[in-house]
Amino acid sequence: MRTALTVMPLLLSRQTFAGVPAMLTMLAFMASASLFLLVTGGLWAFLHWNPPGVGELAEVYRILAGMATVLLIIPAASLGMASAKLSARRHDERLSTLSLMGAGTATITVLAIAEPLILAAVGLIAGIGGYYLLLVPVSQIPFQGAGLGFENMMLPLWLTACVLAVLLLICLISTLTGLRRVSISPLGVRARALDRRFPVGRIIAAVVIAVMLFAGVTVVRMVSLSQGVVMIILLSVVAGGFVIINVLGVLTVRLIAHLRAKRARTAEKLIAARMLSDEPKQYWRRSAGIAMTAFTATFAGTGVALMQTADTSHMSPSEALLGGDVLTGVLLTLGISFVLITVSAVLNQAVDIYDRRDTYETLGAAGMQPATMHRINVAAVMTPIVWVSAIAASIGLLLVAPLAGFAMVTSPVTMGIMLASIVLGALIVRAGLSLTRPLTGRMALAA
Amino acid sequence: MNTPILTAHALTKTYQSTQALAGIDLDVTEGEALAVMGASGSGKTTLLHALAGIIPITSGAVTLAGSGRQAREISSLGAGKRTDLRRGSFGFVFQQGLLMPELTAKENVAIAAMLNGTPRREAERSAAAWLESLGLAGHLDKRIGQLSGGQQQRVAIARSQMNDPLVTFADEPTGALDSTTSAEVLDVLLRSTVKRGRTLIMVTHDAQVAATCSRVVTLSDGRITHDTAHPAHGHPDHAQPATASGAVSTGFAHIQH
Repeated sequence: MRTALTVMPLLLSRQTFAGVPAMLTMLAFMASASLFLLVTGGLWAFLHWNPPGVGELAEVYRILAGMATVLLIIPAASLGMASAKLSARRHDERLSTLSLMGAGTATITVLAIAEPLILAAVGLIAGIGGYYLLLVPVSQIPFQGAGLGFENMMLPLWLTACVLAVLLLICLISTLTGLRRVSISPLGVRARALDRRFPVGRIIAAVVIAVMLFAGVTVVRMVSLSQGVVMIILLSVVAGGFVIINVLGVLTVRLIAHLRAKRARTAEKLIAARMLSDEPKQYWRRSAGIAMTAFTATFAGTGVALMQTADTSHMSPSEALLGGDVLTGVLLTLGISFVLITVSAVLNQAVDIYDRRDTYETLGAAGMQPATMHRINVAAVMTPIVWVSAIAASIGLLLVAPLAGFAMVTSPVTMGIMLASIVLGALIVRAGLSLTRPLTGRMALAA
Repeated sequence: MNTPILTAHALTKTYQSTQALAGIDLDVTEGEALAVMGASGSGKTTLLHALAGIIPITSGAVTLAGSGRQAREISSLGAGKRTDLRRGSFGFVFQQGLLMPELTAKENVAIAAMLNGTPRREAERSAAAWLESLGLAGHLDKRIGQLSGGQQQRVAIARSQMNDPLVTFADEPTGALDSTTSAEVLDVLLRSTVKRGRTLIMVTHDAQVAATCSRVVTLSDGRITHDTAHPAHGHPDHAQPATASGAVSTGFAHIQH
């Protein structure tokens, strides 16, 4: 450790903040921090929220705000992981040189995680500024007819520090996980060929969870339970759904890749399919955000549909406003989720492009146009998105149907929100990926 | 066979304040095996890239011609057109091979033809024929990571020949290999190119490798200081150039183009 601390200022001082990857990493953590602080600020505001005439309904708002925060953890974590990976790509050569010079594993590990953490810390601190900027418009969004208020959404210092610490921890875990996948030797840094076994255990676990979830929703429907217990069961259903989607998602990507590789007629399609089949987990992770959002949208859409069919003639003014507020919350959560997913997709793409730099150079020399290389990258990312999102949404529908009834699940509002989340999410990611096109071109012409 | 296929005239290339090529005049004859030698930083790779249209040049001209073909000035083409030209007319073999790890050996080779519009099945058939002729019959469906360095270079050579290129550019193709494997790979490279009447331009720092070529050009500070085709440039200091005809059977008669 002492060796690492001695060497660190020399190794990191000049290069840490230089270049596009460093800027992207810091911007990504800034975005992640801004949005996550904003969402936590919303939850904080609702926890202390008690406007006149709302009464017990405030509890419903608190629970829904809590669910929104939990749902955004995955896209925020995904963004943090992508940023850490991008930063880690920059120092492969330095690490192997250190290994050549006799640096021990501990020293190399500390140095490997130091740079991403430094960049993350800078980005997170800048994110506080972004959070305050976003507070201005978001605090005006009406709930129960009035905005939550800037001061009410401002987090205390200790909570702000906690949120940032959690995001920094995600960066650390992601960097350490990334190190596990490479072998650093004096001759260079090579990807470790990890065993890729068919996940029988995970599939069995997913089936067991699915059965338990179905039992859970049946119990909620048939047995009279307190609101708190119902919410706990519902949250468990959502969490369990995420687990099932995670297992099925990777398998789906593998299957799609296999089928498309068999049928590919052009170089573009073949390369894109092989990229998917080579790293199904990696490409699943890029689709996971949208898939989870589609899954969530089915619950949200059903909830909104239920609200809209409720008879408002016997409702208090507060109860009558609840439906519209739920829709507002759903749209806000989906919007934030899309921003996190898109930034994550762009960053992952940038990492990929840097990883494949040599390949782009050789393909460029061999006569492949940079535009074609970009299309291959986009195809590899976008191909699984629609499929896994549709599967995730279907799982969501199957889980929520016993609770709300098939009429609600298939209502135009539910289907509309669900489809819009898939289509919009895919379009936004597609638009974000176009930002990496110049980077592909630069790599291709870098010979 | 004496037709110039590639001509460089007053070729210069400057990177910011560094002049990598300082006025190169070079005629490469069709069917020639040309070795480009020189110390590190002499401009060998830059010359290769400039002749192949991989990089734009600062001034001068590079022209692609050859018997029965209309001359095309590569240097005046935009990046997109140069890419199209490379796809159809040139093949490349790099020191590191630079094959795609996601693809099998056969797919890596077939990709070159598929990029040129050949249907997949046909491209894979042709790729398989090439790989078998280069001694890789049992390795068609192996991933690149499962092949040795020499095997990977053979795959790279096969890939470079898929579109029957007019000129093959090789940048230190044996640089990362041991001497025995180097000799084997070099033999394969020469059999695949000059022994079939095609042109090979190879950058190398190895005099023994250069000795297998029919012509050697030496660079220093971006200029040609010696050319075995024009001994007036300087003093010859290499071994006898290799002769092409009859020494090795090509074994490629069955490959369809």
